Amino acid sequence: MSGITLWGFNGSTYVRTVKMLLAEKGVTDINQVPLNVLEGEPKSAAHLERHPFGKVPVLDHDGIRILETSAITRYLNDVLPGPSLIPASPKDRARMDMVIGLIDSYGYGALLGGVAAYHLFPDFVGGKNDAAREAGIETGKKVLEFAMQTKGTSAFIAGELSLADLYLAPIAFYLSLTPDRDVVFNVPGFAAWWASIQALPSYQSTPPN
Amino acid sequence: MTDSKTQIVFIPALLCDEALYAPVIDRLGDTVEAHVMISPKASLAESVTDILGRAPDKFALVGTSYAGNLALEIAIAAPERVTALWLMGCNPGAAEPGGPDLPGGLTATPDAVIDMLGGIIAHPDNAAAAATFKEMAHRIGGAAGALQATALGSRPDAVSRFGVLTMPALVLWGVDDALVPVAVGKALADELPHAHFHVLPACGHLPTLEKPAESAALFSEFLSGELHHSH
Repeated sequence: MSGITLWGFNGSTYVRTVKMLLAEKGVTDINQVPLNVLEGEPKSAAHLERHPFGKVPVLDHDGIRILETSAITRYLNDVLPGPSLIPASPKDRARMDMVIGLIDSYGYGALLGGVAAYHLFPDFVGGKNDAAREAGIETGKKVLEFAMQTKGTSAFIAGELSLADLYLAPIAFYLSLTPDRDVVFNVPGFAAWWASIQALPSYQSTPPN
Repeated sequence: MTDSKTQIVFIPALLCDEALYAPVIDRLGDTVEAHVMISPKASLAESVTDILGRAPDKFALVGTSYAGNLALEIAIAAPERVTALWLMGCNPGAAEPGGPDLPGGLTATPDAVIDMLGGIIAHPDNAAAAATFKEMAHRIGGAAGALQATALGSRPDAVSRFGVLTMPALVLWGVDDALVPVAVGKALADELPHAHFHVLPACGHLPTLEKPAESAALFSEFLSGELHHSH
């Protein structure tokens, strides 16, 4: 056993980010407790003990409990053997961190809450909100444009595959299922990036279910 | 053989079942014997083997969308057994990377993906067709649909192998098909050695469900012109 316990369900894009990292590191034997956000389980008293805002993922490993995807992924990248998902050079690390920052601050809410939820799980966000969808398309496209400008001619956002790709891939998955896909994905470089992501074993082995 | 029934194999589209073709089969009358075959497998090649094992010796073959791709593969694999082709809403080119992750979506959020597809699959004025699609999709289910979507998403190009398809073909398209544009249907008909091309007005991706009377009439006319006169 890896000794890793991961709290969170596979439908969460942030849980999938962690699971893609684990797959890239070759770790499969984790203990996952699938708390389902859509069914309100993370807001249970037991989970609020683990995370004050009832969020997933939460990680337990080697006597430490870690909250928040940014802390979890950096910790796992450091303690697990295998290829690093954090670039060695400061400039590439900055490319990665810029895109992750924009996803956390703007991209997730716009693309997941605004666009994907409108089509795929409207009940979870209080019904279909056309204004949120339109704003989500506009804001989300800016994030994707910035991510692809940051990628430039590299294979991935920060050069080699990095945490930035692992943040964006699970969001792109949900977007790809919506009729707004053609508009949102109409960003130079995005189609090639998305095709590369779909070919990754770590993407293919972590479908939400 | 002029008094025997025309054997026809109907393959339903992704997430569809016999209800996709029932309105047309009802109208074709008793001169035909319809066989509806569903074969959800993770590659078109596996379904080709499965359906050729179950189909009559010789048959006309009908496929819509994903099943149009499957019909093309069956006809390419056994052109001597396929007497005629009826194709709707299928893109015969290779799957292009960078599209929707439908297998993942049908695994993760099947109800949501079915709802989403239901919103774009038929002409917007045809709520009954969209409702029938959703009913079919829930009967087929996300797991079987994910297999079909996996097969569709890994399909090879068929156009380069069209040379053996000398049987007559009817290519029928809804002018408002939001999933596979009518231009793809026109190009398909142009590439096939012996095809008739018809466009249905006010029709989306599923002609047999949306315009059953017109679809059945065109298919009957096609069959009698191409098959029965030659006997």
